[in-house]
Amino acid sequence: MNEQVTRQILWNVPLAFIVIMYALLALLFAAFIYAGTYWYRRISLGTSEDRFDQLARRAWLALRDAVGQGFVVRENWDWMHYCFYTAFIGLTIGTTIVLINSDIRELAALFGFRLYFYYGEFYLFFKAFMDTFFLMLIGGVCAAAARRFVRRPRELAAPPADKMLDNLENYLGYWYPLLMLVLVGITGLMLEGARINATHPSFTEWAYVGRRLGQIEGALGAGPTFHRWLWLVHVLLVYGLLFAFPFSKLRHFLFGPINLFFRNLGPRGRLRPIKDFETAETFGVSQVEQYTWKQLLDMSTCLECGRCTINCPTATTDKALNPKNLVIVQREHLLAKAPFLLAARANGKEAAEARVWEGRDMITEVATEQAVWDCTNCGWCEEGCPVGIEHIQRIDDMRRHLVLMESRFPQEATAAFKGIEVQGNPWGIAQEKRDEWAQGLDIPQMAELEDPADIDVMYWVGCAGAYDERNQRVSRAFAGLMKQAGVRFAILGKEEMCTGDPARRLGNEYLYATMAAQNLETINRYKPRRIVTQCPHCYHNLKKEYPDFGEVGYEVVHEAEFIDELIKAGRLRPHKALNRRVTYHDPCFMARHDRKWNSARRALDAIPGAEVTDVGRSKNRTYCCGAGGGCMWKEEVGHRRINAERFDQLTAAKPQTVATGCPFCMTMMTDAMKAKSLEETMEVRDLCELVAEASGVPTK
Amino acid sequence: MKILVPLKRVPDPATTIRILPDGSGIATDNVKWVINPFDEIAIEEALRIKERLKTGEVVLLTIGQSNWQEQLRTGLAMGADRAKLVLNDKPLDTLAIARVIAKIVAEEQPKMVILGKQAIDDDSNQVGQMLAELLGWPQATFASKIDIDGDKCTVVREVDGGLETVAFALPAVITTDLRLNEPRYASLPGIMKARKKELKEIPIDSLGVDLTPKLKVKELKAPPKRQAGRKVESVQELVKLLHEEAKLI
Repeated sequence: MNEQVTRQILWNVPLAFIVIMYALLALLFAAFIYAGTYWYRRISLGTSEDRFDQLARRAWLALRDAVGQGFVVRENWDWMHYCFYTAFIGLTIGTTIVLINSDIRELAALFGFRLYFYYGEFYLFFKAFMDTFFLMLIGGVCAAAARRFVRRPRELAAPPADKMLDNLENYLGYWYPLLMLVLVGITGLMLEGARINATHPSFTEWAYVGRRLGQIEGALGAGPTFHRWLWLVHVLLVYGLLFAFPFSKLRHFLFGPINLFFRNLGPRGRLRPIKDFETAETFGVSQVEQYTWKQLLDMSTCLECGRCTINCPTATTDKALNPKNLVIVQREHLLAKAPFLLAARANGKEAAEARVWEGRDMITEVATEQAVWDCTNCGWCEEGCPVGIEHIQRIDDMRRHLVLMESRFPQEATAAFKGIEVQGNPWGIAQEKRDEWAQGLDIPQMAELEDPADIDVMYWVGCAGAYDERNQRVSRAFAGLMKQAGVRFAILGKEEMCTGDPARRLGNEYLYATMAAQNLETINRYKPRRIVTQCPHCYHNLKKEYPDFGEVGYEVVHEAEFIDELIKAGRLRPHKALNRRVTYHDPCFMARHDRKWNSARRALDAIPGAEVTDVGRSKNRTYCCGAGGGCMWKEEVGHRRINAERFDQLTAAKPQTVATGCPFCMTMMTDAMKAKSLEETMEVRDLCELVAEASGVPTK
Repeated sequence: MKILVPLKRVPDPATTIRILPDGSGIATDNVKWVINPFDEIAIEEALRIKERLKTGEVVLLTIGQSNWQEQLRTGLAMGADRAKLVLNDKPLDTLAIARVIAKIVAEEQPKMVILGKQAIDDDSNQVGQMLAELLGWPQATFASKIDIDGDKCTVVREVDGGLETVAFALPAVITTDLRLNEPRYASLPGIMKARKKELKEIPIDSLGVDLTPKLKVKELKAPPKRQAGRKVESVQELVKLLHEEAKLI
């Protein structure tokens, strides 16, 4: 096709308008530089943290999840976001193409290059694409507005107004960006229509929306003058949108990819150890500037979508902790305190120490202590966040301050701490009773083995499996099952101690470090190649947290994986039919933090007669039982219980058996079942108990 | 105000106590040791009084072997200012212990001695009372509330079937009951500081106290094992058994 098939770029636009366009562009750059400096200075208030490793992998993941919208398309409504996101990118590329074929083309011509391709077939396709993008933009924005202003889902509710700053960003909210987006879309199409109407080219069918609009505009008497002024209005609206990027919630367009680039690449759910107990003067975080720069970047990035709350056990049971509100009010606090901190920093160290912050206290007045203690560490907030915000560490840092510095925490936790300190278990039951569950089962202990290398696997029983009556039955079933399969295993017996998980999750990092060192010393004395745990929390700590505390030369498997392995190898044959409907409740520390949910289902599926179904909230979208994050060891506040909420979700599948793979889930689900007086018709079982029963393992 | 808190090391309440075959004492292998819970309440109360008055010193004291330092350090980590460990490896009766404490009181001149009403190991409940007598000080035992106003002290005591309020002038000896307070959990800076706090060891012989026991433990015996119960078919049968076998009615 020939070069006649095109349009004249900037047709009908007077020079004054063009000058306005470029002047605003220069101003826009200045605004971006100003905003960039503003946020950089605030984020730099944080302490150091290394997030500059594995740059290539970081770049790829940021590309996949930000540019490719990897996180975003997971939720239903995200098709809406995907729509106008794609349209926005498409239209930006389109504008760039126009720029290349005008200004850059002229610049290239000065150097003797010919740079021009805005004609012919390309031009026609281009027009069709642009019209489609405009439609996607308008449609997506209308859907977003309907959701935000009409349907108003819970997760979009804002934090209390008294905790929000009175600034431009909060004023603009999302109404302004959405309004600008839709107006840019509408005027863009109208502008195309006005030009078609005024110039009457013979090749308009590709601009399938614009040409129709042009006909209407023509019928209404629009001519070149209308086009000219509409051009100015469109350009001003585009700038109205672009200027909003650094100063409104649209900031996430720039911060999201940056935050995803710097995301945590380490194991999920892992907490940062404190290395300098001997030299540090403060532990944990009570002042916002004690957070690392990445944690401040997290706050700055939050776009307030509320995905962190939709499956959050505390936000959905009306507790004080709402992860979205927490991160927002912490950001507001950072911005409120920043001038004070920046001034103090500018005046040197001594002056900084002399000044006292008289604004709100971050923990007690901004976050509130109750919210800090509510968290169950289930990890949904981090699973749901589209921009990689890390919530658990930020909350645990405050717990660390409260416990280590101020010794202020829920009274009930004292018993757990002292129990772990003195007897090596959070119940505080005598350490010498640790192996009583195994009496009469003839289970070898590591200390009795002639050669500790003679075993296939060391069974780490865990405190619940060792002391809690119901879970002792699980330990006996699991041991019986391993015997049946001919597994050579041994336990540590009295030498095993709590991994320290409850202490750590409740902020007592010092006690945790002590327990980790002690357990690693015991384990390394026997050097087992493999450790199997029934408890996902023991699993998580032995596998992912202990490497921070010493040499780890073992592999850790969870019972679900181990049983699955034994069944696959033909060493276990579940042959007795258990004719019941079973639903599996995924423990957070397996499914969410470790992304493992298949082996448990395969193990259950191997049981003849068992009809295994999943509820909506399962696998990585599982809902917490309420015991994690040390919540097992303190009272739950509020009248809606997390375990009851979860049990209701599970019973929606009308199961006869709720199966799980975690001793604490077992306790919470059993309690919920009893609270509903359903123990006559239902049961809560560990998956190893079900497999043991089906495999004909004698019960003791 | 200077407050002296004598404390005892006892087996953790969760520990299963096993008597030595000869009945002379308890087996100490596998035993986890802690501060006597009532003494821990005494430390907490002393610290609260100091915090309330915004001045004073809390001095810990124990009588035992060198490894009892651990319990003193725990108390120092809670916030006590310094500690004294009277080194001794012979069995002492309550009067000897009261005499040793009285001797330290004479040296330290505290305004108040607060200690647990009893130790949970032998449950003697005597040291506080004996100490008050030796010192000629007022005593308030089983305290569940302590108020101080200058040199005047008011204590609410837990007595059978109710509460009794007593008032007296300091110095005095106070023994603590369970509901006086909830002892704090040591903060990490507290633990770190405790390592550097003064802990003085004093050989018991250097005190020149008469340690001759007036009391000798002859034998320790475990309580009889509980027998398995029996299920009866009817009330009549139960009444019959209670009457004929148990001879209770």
